Amino acid sequence: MSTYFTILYRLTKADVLERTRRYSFFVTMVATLYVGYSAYAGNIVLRLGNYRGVYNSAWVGMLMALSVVTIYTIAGFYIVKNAVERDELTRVGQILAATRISNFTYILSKLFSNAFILMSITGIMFVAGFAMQLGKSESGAFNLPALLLPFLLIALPAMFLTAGIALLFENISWLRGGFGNVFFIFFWATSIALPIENDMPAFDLTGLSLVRPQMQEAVRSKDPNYKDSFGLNIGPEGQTKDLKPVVWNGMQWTPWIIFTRLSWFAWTLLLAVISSLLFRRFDRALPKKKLSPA
Amino acid sequence: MEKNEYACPERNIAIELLIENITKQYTPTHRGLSEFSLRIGPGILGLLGPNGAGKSTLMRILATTTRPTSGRVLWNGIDIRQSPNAVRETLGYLPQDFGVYPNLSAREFLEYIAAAKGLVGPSTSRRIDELLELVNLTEYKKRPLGDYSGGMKQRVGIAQALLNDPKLLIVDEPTAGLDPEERIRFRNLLSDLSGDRIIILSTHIVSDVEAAAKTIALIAKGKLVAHSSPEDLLASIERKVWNCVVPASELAAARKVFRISSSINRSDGVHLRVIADSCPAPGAEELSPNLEDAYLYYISEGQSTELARTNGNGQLSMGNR
Repeated sequence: MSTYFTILYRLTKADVLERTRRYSFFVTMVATLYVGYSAYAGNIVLRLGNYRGVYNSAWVGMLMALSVVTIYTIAGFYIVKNAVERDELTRVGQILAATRISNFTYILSKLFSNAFILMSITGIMFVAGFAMQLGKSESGAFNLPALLLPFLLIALPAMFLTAGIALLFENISWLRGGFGNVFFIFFWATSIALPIENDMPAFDLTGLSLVRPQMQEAVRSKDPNYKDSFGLNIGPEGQTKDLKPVVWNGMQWTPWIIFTRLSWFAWTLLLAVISSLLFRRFDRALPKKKLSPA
Repeated sequence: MEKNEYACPERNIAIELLIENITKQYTPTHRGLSEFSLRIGPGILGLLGPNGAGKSTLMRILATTTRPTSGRVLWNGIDIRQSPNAVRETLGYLPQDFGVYPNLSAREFLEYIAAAKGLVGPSTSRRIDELLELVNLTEYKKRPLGDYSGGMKQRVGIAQALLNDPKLLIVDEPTAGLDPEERIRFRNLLSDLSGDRIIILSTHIVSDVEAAAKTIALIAKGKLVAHSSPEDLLASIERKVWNCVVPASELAAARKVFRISSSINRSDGVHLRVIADSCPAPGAEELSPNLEDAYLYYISEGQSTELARTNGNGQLSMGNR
């Protein structure tokens, strides 16, 4: 068993090294830093009517985690959706196809590699969040769990699933190319909006519908006239200067919430299994396997 | 099950690759291989054929990277379509159009392929160092592969094929991109490696197989045209190679009528090395055949081109000599 994990680690490591040494990865990281700065500059705001949270660890952690989820569930898809294609283009796949590596192990290594790239983005945003709390100086008390848990339980499951969806798209012939890229925009918009609008937190990848009631409760306790307005505003119009601060001390991570969030990892592994069944192992002469659009 | 012809004395296991009636149909109008059968034992098999003959298709089927439309391949009696891992665990494969990760060093890349082959641990690390030494890349092992020349990448490809000390080594056009010195070095390496393993060397360069191959298979239009030892192949075209001298002005006409292996300009005219079943012209001198002659003879037979043989008695007036 340990040999298997060593093999999986080596496969993932090589793929990660190849990707992270590319110029495009550097550009991605710089862009992520800019996203972090935008949150600091007030261009990404978690707004509840006329209120926003005091920039303590809990608020900053959740703001940054929700920013990651909102921006990188779509941008991240396009960033990592070339893991298998790269082996096809570099023709390394011709060598790999003749080795003992199973389809599932190969796909799993690509999933972890995808996830590493997206987790690197999440890591940058965590560091940016730490810097933001220091920079804003609205709360001197630094609370590591309150800052970290939104990243672990809100952002990472979403990034992991995005990694898995990208891999699935690569292994479905009609979703591999340009049509898949366009299709994903609609798929993403629908899958993000539906659970939030219909109050189905268990199916809400962003976690917004899990977070919303607890934040609204904090505002309601301060302002009984608060009308349940809630939104993550991205752009210059979301400036914070006119908003009144309210102290929010963080999520109550109930077992149900934790289970809901961790279940996304299991769903992702299921996607990896499906991807491995559809994986063509670089056989250019093989008839295309198709998943009929439902 | 068929009785195996060959045996590996060290491990006391049979080593045989049996190809039975393989056909590869890419599209309704494009057939890569047609009813191809071959039995291969230890030693180097040179697979010779022109571009597009079906060599790479055959290599890919044997390396389990694509499947035949019909027919089967048995590795030591095991059908590799049903049990591909039976051959993959002991296979070294250098594809014709392989690539590398440009941002990894040679060592990192070899570690990656080793992991894909299920090889980890200190012995693998030592093996990688040995192979880097063998292909003369130790000095450059930390440099990104994107900075390597074509020949250096080819050497990395050779090293990865040897990682698992394969019992079946398939190399498809391995000398492409190598300079003459590297080519000789590679031929010698293959000779050293042969013995108790099967090496299939696919190429369209006759000199690549001339020195090392124990047997030669000629392939054209997806079909096996000939399979024998180099000696038998040469013997089979005794009295079929001729030296004819023609004026330079008749060279073009001669090319249309004869299968010409080579031509050399001399003061008395152009000396043509003609392949023909019978004396092609009055005064033609019989020559000792070489493998290029045999290749040309059988490949053009396989391709059924309209050659001099089909034109009457195949004789041509040589003009003024």
